[in-house]
Amino acid sequence: MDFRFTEEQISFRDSLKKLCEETCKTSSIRSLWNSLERLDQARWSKLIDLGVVGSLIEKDEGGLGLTDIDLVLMAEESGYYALPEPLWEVALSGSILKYIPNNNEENWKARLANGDFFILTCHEINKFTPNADLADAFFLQDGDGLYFAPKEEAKIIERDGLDPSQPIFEIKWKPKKSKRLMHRSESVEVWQEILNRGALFTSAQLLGLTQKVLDLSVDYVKSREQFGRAIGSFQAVKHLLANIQVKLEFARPVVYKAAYSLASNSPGRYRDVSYAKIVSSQVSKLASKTAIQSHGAIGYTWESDLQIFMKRIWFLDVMWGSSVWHLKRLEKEILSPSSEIGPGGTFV
Amino acid sequence: MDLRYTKQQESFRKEIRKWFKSNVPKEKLLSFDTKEGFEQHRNWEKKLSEGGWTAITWPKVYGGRDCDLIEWLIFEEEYYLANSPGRVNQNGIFLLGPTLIEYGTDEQKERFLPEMISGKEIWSQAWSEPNAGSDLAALQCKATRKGDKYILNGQKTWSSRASFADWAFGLFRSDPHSNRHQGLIFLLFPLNAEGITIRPISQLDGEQGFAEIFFDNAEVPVENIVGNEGDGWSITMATAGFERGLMLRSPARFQLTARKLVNLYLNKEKNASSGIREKVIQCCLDAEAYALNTYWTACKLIHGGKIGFEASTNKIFWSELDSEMHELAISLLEAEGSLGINDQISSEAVEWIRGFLFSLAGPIYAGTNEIQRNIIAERILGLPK
Repeated sequence: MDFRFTEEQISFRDSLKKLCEETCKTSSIRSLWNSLERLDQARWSKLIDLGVVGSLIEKDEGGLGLTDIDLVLMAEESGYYALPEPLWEVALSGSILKYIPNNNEENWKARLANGDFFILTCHEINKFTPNADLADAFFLQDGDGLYFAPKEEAKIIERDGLDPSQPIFEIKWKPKKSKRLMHRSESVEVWQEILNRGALFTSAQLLGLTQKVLDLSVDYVKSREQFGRAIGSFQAVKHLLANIQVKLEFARPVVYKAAYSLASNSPGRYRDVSYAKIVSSQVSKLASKTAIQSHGAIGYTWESDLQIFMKRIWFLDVMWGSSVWHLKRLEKEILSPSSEIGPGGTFV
Repeated sequence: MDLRYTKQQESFRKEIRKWFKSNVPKEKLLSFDTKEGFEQHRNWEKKLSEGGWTAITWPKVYGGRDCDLIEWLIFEEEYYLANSPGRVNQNGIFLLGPTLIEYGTDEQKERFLPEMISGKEIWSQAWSEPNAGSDLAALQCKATRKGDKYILNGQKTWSSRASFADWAFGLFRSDPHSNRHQGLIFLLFPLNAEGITIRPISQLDGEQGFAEIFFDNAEVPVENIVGNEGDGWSITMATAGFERGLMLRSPARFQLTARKLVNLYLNKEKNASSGIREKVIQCCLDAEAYALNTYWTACKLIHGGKIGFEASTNKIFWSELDSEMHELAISLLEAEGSLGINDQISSEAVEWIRGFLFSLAGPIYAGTNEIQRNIIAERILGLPK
């Protein structure tokens, strides 16, 4: 029993932190909003060099051969900086290539890992696909299996998203039998794995985002003075922020355990991922509400950077299953006489 | 990261399970806040010590088993799974014992630890005073040095277990010119000493879980001081420190309540609203989160990690969870939720009602949750005083 990350995992996280610290300032995020450029190319190529997009692809196929537990801290960190690039979406597509037969002639794995081939995975749980305009191709879900569609075969319709950093799209497409990569029966589990991994990466980003809006709020209430003193010295304000600290501290190990369960293919991974998405959604939404309250009117402005992180929270909250959806998924498992709820049930 | 128990841990679990299966009293004991129940629980402590289970994390030389925190978590899981009685000597075993092991003299360890382990001496605590509750540093109780004795005068209150216990530990002011955190001593004293009067206080449930202690020139030998004069505050903080904070309320306790809540919900499902259903699930998630967080922290500690003010976040989390679970149970019980604790027919309901009443004390004792939030805001988040 060792519930700790390795030094390697921590230093991998730190390298992404350094990259974000240098290249993902809020000014850089804002500059993309008004630009015709859809990606910060310099940042994106550094992210590619770091290897994250191909991290879940086997080593001898051009990837890093890592698992969810190696990545969860990085996903958390990318949330802290509200990294706009679809790092995790592409990594997710990479993770399922191993199930897809006969893709060797096109060498998808290596091309995806080195950033030349941008595949996004459209799970039916997500009504909108962020950054679909950047994709070269899609993995798509239809009643009878898992399909591949190059971008020419899919019509993408842009919608106005709440988060200016995450353009969202609806995808219209007609399944072509020739492009079916997996039949329904074999694809069911793959789609489940996609959903679990998508929810895990999202949960981890929500943790980072929560830490960020908490930090921004702490900084603000320390410096903002009213009645001749810092507003952070008032108990009413202190207690609001302390509540976030408590909930965040208790959400982290839940998300880390979900990463472990997914990486080790544990039978409890569905339950653990749903736990993770529920607690991270809850704490991040409460944190954004608390953050705007402790900022006062300035937090309600376009000018305040708070919006960058709050809007990402609200966006990710509904991605890969809302907390309500995940609560429903857990319901039967928990509310049963034979459920593992109880002393000794944690690691069963 | 490897979240599997080792073979040794698994066999340790089996060993515990086996012992508890044949040793937990078949009949539920009376409450330890009654005179008769107190003695029943003292006997249970004796039995535990015969099995070597009283203080498993203590060093072997003092009667423990040198267990690490993961083994402690396993032990607690089995303890609660077996529906074992509560720990009447928890003040001694979990608070004072570790403090003596760290700060006590060899003579003190030799004198007090074996009697604590055997259950022969049950301990209560003496922190609060009528005018020193959340603001403990305002305490006034005096310990005046006179030769080889301290003369105690003043009053303590809300002293848990003091109604029936044998000994107490607490904070006294030995320097009359000192104020706040200075000039304090951490002192051990027998509750039957001359000059000490105990007045039990009836609690919300009608039982006498705490008491007032009056000191009228009570004499205590100087060798009963733990540490030196002036060290009282820092030793008290260490006593309430994190590792103890971690061990005060093990996750298994709340996981068991969550399990019972699920069972209760399943029995009453027909009449329950969907709002309650979601809240019950949420409680189960929170009980799991509490367990995961404790394992997480335990692993950090075992490998030499440092712990800050997490005792405060912990305290808020478990006390609010406990309160929520019991409130839900009372709602699910409907009419039976209005029974008193002496009802002889609905034992399940009575257990919930007892738990409900006690859950209301959770956010108050061991530092109110408001004080804990101040600590989190000031010490963890760095907000100004």
